[in-house]
Amino acid sequence: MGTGEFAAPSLAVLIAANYSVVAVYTKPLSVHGRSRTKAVPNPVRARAERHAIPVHDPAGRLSDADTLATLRSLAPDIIIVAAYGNILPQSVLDLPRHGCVNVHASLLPRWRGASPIHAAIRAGDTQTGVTIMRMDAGLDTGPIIAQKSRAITPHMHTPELFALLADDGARLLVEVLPDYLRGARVPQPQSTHGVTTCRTLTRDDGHINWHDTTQSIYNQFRAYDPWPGIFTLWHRDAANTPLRLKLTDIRPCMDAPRHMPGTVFSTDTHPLCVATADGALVVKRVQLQGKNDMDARAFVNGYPDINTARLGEMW
Amino acid sequence: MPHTLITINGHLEDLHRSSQRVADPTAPAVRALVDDMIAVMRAERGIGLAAPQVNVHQRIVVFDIGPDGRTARTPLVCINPVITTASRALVMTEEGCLSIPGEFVPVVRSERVSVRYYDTQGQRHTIAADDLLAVAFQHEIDHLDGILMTDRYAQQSSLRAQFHEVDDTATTHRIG
Ligand SMILES: [Zn+2]
Repeated sequence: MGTGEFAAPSLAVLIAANYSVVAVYTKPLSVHGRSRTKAVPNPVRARAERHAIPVHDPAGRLSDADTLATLRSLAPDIIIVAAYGNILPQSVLDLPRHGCVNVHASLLPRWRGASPIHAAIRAGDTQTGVTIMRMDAGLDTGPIIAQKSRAITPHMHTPELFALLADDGARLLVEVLPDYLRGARVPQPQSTHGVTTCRTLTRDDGHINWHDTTQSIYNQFRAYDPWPGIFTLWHRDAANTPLRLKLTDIRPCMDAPRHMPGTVFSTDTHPLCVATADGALVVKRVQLQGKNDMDARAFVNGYPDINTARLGEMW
Repeated sequence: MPHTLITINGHLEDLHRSSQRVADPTAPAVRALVDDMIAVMRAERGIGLAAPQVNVHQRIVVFDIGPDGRTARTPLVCINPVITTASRALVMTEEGCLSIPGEFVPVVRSERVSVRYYDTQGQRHTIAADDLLAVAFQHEIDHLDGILMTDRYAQQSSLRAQFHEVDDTATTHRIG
């Protein structure tokens, strides 16, 4: 059971290791907004179809009678879950002989929940990893079968870390599965210390607070690339509602002048810098609401009044 | 050993360091530190004090000033304070700092700020501050980021120019 780029490598290694994958469960094709024609491709579905594995995408709950009956008729020995995006009911957790095993993209119990990769980068963690866990009824609270850590380097963004962890998770899964199925690897309860949780992201998570530190805002940028991205408000004139300015490429600048947080300024080499609580960020590319993404210099030329602006949430 | 005040005479580097978030605002060690900070603030007749001024690099500030801008009977203790909104309207105040003895410099700040913080019971609060308390919050939170009033002053010559006509109304405060 899984969806998207995170689950695809796990499915691939299971097939390659000659496990008999009797069915793949994934989320229904998602329809975005009003453009019903634009279905998001699902690599799990694509790979399953290529290997002639039946794909199920129940729209309702897994505990619905029909869905549960179908699942039971498949008589799975084990269910592998990766980024499925649905909570599994007890009736499903109890169904396979070896239970449901989850590939989770953090070192549990840190970052239980829906967005562990984003959360780790946002918090400035320098290390994260993957956990193979026997699922229980809680949210990512099950006992741990195996873990593998990985460093988060200072300029790593979410997509890069995501791909690495999806791969790490798949490798670790096939590495430990034989021992787990033989009963030679007993899942160990999670530590009660160091528990943190993360929730599903919203667009507002990308709202920059310029009273935050340079490093923290840079972490926010790395974490929320490409979605939801980071943005600030530009009160271009007092009468109108502020404009949303998305910062699509930024760099930290630690020993910057001590301007008030949110103050826009320029230096000899950088046409667009914004002061933070403890320094500044160099803005390389921006996108003003309703406009195209553009180079900072082109933006400053087109909107010279940005140079006297103070950005951010303000009264 | 109780915590004591440090100044730029011998401790400039310490005052330029940034401070860490407090993991547990309810810890007894936090309580003891806060008591020392309040004692130092009162002994030195400051209206605010940040933990790095007693050479502890934790995000804690205390004030002896109430939301009405007057001396408070009970000190205001703020752990992990974060400015969430600042006014576009600015004020210039002659600020003093307990860590920079004898100096008073005009610093331009937001006139109003809202600040989110935790108390020593671990409860979260949001306060809307104006007047002297707003300025004091910005001065003390700057200390947590390793920034002194003189660092702000050094960058504000063009901003200060906007205030020259109203210089007479500038008030002088030894904030901390
Ligand atoms: Zn001070």
